[in-house]
Amino acid sequence: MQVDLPLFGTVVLCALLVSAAYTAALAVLAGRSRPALLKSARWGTYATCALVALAVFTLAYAFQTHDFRIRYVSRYSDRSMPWYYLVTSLWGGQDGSLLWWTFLLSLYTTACMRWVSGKYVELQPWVIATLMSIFMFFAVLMLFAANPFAVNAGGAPPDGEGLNPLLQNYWMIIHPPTLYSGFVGWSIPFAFVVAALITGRLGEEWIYAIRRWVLVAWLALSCGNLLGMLWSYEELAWGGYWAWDPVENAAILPWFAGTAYLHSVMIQERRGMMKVYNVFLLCLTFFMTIFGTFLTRSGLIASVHSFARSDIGQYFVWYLCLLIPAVLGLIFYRLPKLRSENRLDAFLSREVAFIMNNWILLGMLFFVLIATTFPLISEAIRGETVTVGPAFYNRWMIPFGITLLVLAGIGPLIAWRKASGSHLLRAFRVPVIVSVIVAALHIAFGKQIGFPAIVGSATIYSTLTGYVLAVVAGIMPVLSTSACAFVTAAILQEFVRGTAMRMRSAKEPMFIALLNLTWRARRRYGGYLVHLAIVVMFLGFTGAAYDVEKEFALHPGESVELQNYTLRYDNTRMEADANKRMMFSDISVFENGHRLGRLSPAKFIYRTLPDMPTSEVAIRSTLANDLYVVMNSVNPETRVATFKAFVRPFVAWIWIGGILLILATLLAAAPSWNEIFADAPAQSRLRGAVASAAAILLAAGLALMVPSHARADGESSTLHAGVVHIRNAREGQLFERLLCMCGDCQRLPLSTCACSTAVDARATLRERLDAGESIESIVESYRAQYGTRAVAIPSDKGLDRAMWAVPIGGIVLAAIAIVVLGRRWARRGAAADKAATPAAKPEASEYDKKLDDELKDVDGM
Amino acid sequence: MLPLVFLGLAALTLLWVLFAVWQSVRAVTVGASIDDGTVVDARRASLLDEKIALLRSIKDLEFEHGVGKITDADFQELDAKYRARAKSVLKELDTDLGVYRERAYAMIDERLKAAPATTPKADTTDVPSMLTCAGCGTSNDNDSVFCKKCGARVQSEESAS
Repeated sequence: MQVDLPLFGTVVLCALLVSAAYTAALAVLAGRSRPALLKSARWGTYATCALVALAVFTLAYAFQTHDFRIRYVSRYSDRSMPWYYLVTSLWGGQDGSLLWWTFLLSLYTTACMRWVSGKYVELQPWVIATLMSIFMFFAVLMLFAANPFAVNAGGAPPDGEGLNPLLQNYWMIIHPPTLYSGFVGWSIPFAFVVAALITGRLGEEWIYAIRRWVLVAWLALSCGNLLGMLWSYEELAWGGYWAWDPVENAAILPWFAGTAYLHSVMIQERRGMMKVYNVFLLCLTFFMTIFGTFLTRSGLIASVHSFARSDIGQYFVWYLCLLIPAVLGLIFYRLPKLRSENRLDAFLSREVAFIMNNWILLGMLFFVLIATTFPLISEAIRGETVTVGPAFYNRWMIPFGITLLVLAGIGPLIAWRKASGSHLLRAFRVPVIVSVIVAALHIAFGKQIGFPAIVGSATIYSTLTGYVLAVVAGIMPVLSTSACAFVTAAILQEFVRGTAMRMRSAKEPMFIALLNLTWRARRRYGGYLVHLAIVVMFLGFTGAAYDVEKEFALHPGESVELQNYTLRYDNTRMEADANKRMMFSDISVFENGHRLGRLSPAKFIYRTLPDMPTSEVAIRSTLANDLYVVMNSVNPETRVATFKAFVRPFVAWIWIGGILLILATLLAAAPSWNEIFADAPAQSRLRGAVASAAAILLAAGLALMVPSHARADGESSTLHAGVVHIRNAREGQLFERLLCMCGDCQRLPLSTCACSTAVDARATLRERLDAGESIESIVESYRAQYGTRAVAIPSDKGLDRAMWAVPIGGIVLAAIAIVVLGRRWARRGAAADKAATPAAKPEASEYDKKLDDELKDVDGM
Repeated sequence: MLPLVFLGLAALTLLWVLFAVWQSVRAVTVGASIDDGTVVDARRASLLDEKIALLRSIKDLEFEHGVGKITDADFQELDAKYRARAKSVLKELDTDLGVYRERAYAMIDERLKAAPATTPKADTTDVPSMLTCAGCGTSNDNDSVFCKKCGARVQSEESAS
């Protein structure tokens, strides 16, 4: 087609900017002085959203027709790619992913406009104005920094460069859209908060309005993170699911804030307090989504995920510099309306438990944020950069995780308002006993079943802090199992007690009582089930303490033993398709002489990237463990192949927990039949359609989430990651702290990097270890030789110490503040009770009946 | 095939964009005014909020008492406290509502005074009253043919035409 498609696309983007600005102006007018303009603004919103869709369809068309005039199309696709990867390329690169983000925003906005029709008319104009401002920002980004329709300077090349084969897998189809949905979803609640601040309608209205939107965004963000973990696990040869890479951290930071908000908003719903805090928290969550994408795209911090470093970062900085003062200014302006007298009935109450939940989640956010941005901070303050690697996070996040887990069990046990002393003890009795018994059992029998309660772990610092951390890491398994037992017992107890109460009061049989209980109070019980899902995931995480790995080279027919498995290498075969050659090594897996199946790890050599073969992992997953096999190399003549195999216990539980999390959230968020069908038929049909579409999409998503071993196109997603020879645990601990200095890659740890520089470095360091040198001294000399950025764990001195000391200090101070403030609020509450007249007025009795009537209509939390 | 699908989608979307823009611009120019009566009383809104919060609190309390999380004594105390406050909020809301009710009646009165009397006076002269059945004496409608009680003919052959 000789139509000037690139020009058309750019014009559409210009139209988008104009339309968004026009709609924003209309909305502001509607909000300030002419409410009748709301209708115009709504149509303007639909037009703006449609323009984004138009741009996406145009770009999709350009991909499908291989229009290589467009730079983005030629950069990320080629003629050999199948149609679904051509669709996937829409979000494969910087420019297109910006358009994709805007597209998801337009979908959310359209849904919001349909849902809000006729409701919240005072808030609507400002919601629209805020959303349009976000559209305007992305339109500006695309037009001036990263235009997906920009043309190639030298005309259309005969063929495109093609999407990086590392991204040509089904994960690339599902993970970015889901994760982006999670990010973008927070724009809607944010718009409502801003609208509430501007209009001064700061009661409960905005909270009830956004309740389900928050849950949708939170669910999408959780799914996006889970899919990312699955992708990492199934495709990267290192066998892990979370590397604390800056981009991964960027995706978890809003999740911490969002989860904190989900809990603290319940305090405001019941007591009308902490309004400033909740407004601030929601804005923080939105801010984290923008900040996260800024970190990813600007390339400021080296990451294996980064897009190419560009000047797009400047635009984000400007946007954030506008956003933060604007929001803070609004909050400050409305402070009088937001201020409420904080009062509690008692310090021991669920309110305080939820405050503690917020404390630990925001503590984690703060900690990860500082550690992620520390390379920049270090460079700014003292001119040299450091690297903060996964070993650092893995060690520090253990105490955080355990604390969060324990709180997840304590929360359900404490009543709102006031937990009476004796009843509290009774509530805690069974869970505490269960956890103690489980701990004792684990300590006594753990080793025999292969899961010792206490494992060895090296220190990451040679200071007291390092020692304490090492001890905590060492007892992590038993801490985790007993905490999991505690939470499980607490939640099961809640279900039992609730069911018993229903059986007594409603005279229902047990199963019916349980179902009714869960459905009627689904916000509460759905929430409990989410906690249970987190417990299941934590059990999965605990398995990491028991990972076993082994490297071996085999002739065809030879076998090797690993834990209770026997692996027999049968043969290697070559296959080829349009864009790659594949070498599969077939391994038969036996357990106690019984053949379990066949695993076929592979190496793929892409025609477009012949120097960088990728590893495909073969996984055999059971509830007890995952058998994870990678083929390193194979000699074509002798057919001798080297492999690395892991046995990773309980990993499947993480994914099972993830599915439970999704289902439980859906239950908690489910609208009642009344809510869906109470309105006019047209609207209810729409909702029915939306609900069923969502259900179908969800089912599809779930189906995709299940690890599929039949897929033959998984590769490692980093250039140099590969199978690395590590002889023992001590070597592993040393190598995970030192980074490969090969220069051009994103500096992977020596435990993962498979390039030649790394091989040599490992050989040298191995000799030093064998000579008796300690891990710490080798690390120090490596740091002295290559600089601070060569070590994955910053030292425990000076500014590096501040990296953990500042967040931890803040967390400790916050805890003290919570206790002090909590007690003060409780005293104030008690004083207020005494001051209130206890005698009921005579005319109040006519309102008893009225009150009972009203109570019937209130849903069961 | 797929390119055509995207082309089709793009074309449809373009048409929708134009339609939406047209609707938006039209709504600007046609613009109706909104009555000032929709101004919401902020105090009433916050009372409503408080009512909902209190009702939830009472429900929570009942639930937690039912599952044994709080003692009877604590429950009585807190329940009484929340119920008292809830009742006073309900009372305040009703009093407030009284103001609106009066305002509504005043508006209706104004409207009635302003509107001309369009209903015609009831003209009873020409319309015959009820027909009386000769057999049982029951009054029937004046267009009845048969008596509704005894079934006898109420109209003579000549008048029932």
